[in-house]
Amino acid sequence: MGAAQLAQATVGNNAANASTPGYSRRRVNLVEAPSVRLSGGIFGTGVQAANVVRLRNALIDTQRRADSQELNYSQAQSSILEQVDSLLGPTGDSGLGNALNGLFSAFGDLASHPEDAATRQALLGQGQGFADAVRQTRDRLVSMESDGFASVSDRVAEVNSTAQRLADINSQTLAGQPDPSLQDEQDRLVDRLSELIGVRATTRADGTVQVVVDGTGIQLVDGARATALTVSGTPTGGTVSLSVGGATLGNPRGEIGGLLHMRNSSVDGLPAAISKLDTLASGVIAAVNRVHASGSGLTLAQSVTGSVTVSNPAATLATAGLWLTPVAGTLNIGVFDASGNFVSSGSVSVDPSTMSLNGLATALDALPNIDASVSGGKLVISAANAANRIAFGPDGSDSLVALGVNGFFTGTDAASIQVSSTLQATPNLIAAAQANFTAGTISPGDNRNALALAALGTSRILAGGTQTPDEALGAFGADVGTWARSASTRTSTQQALLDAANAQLQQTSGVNLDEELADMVKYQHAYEASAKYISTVNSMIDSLMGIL
Amino acid sequence: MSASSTLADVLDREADLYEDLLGLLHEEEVALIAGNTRSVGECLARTETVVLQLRLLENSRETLVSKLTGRRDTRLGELPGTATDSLGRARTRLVTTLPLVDVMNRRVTALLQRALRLFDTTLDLIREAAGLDHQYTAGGALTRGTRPVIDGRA
Repeated sequence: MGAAQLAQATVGNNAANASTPGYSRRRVNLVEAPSVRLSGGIFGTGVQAANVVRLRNALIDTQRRADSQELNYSQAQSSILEQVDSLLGPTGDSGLGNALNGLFSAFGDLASHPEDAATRQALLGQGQGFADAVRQTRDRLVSMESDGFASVSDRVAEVNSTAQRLADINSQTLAGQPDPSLQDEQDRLVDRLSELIGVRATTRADGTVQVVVDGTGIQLVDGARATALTVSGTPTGGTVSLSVGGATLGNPRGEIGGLLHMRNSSVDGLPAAISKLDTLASGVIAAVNRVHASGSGLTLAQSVTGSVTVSNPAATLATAGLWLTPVAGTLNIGVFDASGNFVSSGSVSVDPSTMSLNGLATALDALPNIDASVSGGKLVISAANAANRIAFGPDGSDSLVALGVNGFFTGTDAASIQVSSTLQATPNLIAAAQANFTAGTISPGDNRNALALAALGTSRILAGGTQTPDEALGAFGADVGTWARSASTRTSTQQALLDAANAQLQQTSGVNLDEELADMVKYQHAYEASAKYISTVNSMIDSLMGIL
Repeated sequence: MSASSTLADVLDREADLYEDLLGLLHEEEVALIAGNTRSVGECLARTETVVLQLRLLENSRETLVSKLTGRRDTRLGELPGTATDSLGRARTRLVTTLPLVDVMNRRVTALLQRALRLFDTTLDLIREAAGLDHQYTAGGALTRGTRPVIDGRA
């Protein structure tokens, strides 16, 4: 009777768990009970249940977990890359492309109306719009880095708790009989670990499960002992890594592996995207400032201070750690009085391999009517006479750009780009014109520098002179799009493989309600038929026993 | 052949059949628990034959007892020569075998009763899991407990 109950209960349990994730179909193994010898011969005493077994295929489990960890690895990447792609796309949140086009269009407007205050103000707005878009895009990317770090930390905590739970079950298994429910729980936990970090699991003869982080040989669970993962690194910047017992995990798979890849990769991860954006921003800043620094505004400044701080002004310009290294060339500078009359001009030959910031200041200071010094690591250039003004001419050395003197933008990369606060305070300082030191003139209506600035929008000024700003931005977006599509393709492929493996597993371990129902009907009919004849036999026995 | 020896022969054949039935009960128990409906069907067919033969023999027994004593319900122990001749040996076999059959019947009956109760619960679970436990009335109202009949004849 116990065997019958167990068989019934097992079928019922299968049906009740038809939708339970990770549940494995079970069957009762029935064996014949020992026979008894009677006067009429040897008679059986029925059947007894030997055990309840789970219908599970270890090979399919292994393949399914391998597919699952690769799927989660790709999904983690794909999810982040889709966000980056969306951020940079034509309709992206940042509007980076529109902002970039707006900037160069505004330079064109300035060329058309170099003396118009409203046009200058509009240019400042477009410039700031571009700077804001770049910074916001970078902030979003950095935020994704930070989110990635938090996700890794969360998932690692889950790995640790899951591994500990598995160790606890191992401990229970060692203490008692193998229980199909515990074995299902073991499988579910190993499945989850595979999704999270990619593991290989081995079931030992004693029923315990040993778990090794795939591709590393590092044991996560062994018997009743679980080893905790540790996260190293900072939310943003640098590299995030995992370690187990002091040993660093190389390239884990699963969701954590995908997140770590996105967090760390300088090839197709978030650091790569940030680096590309920084490069794009630096290129635009350098190109725009290179033209702007050599121009003159409607009004001239009596004193100009560079925006870049040099930590060691005594170091040569080539080794001072500047964001852009100056080259050997000549820097031209002139002096005009408050009425725009030419006073004087001069030039300094710059050799960055021998000249320091201090040396440059000294050389400039030696020019007639010019004072130059270094203050707080910044270059300060002034007209010696407070009533006079200074104007910059061509700078073949890039020193002005490198030191942030007379630039349209301040900052050196996507994180720090801003429109010069000096220009924002005095829009007439925007350099639409170019001073002519030979003729000693500056014309208010001169738009040559504005034309040069506008021309940058269609000039190959980025990527080593191979791409226009628009092309560079497009290439950046294309790169990210390629990464995203690649991850998406891997994800769909892995999903198909996992679906196939799951289907195989379902055939072996899944509960088919039709099959269970048919089983039940067969049982029901057999039992009802038995009940009928037993009733007949009982009445006959009663009758016969009555006369014996 | 005297009526007494014929009765002894009938009882002896009944004892044989009850021993066969005991074996069949064992086989059926195994088949029922294993859910092996084919074996159950085979056992049932053989059991029907045995029961039919037993009924025929019971009719013969009642006729012979009536001829010997004038009554159908005369106990075998009250017949003359029961303790010494072949009639006594046949009676002894039945006295030994019938309680075993009775015990086996009780076991199987208890098993069936318990199992049939489990059927209801299990079938409820399956119907619920398959979404068969809810039906709509003609008026569109949702009802519960209207169970589909599963009689295996579809």
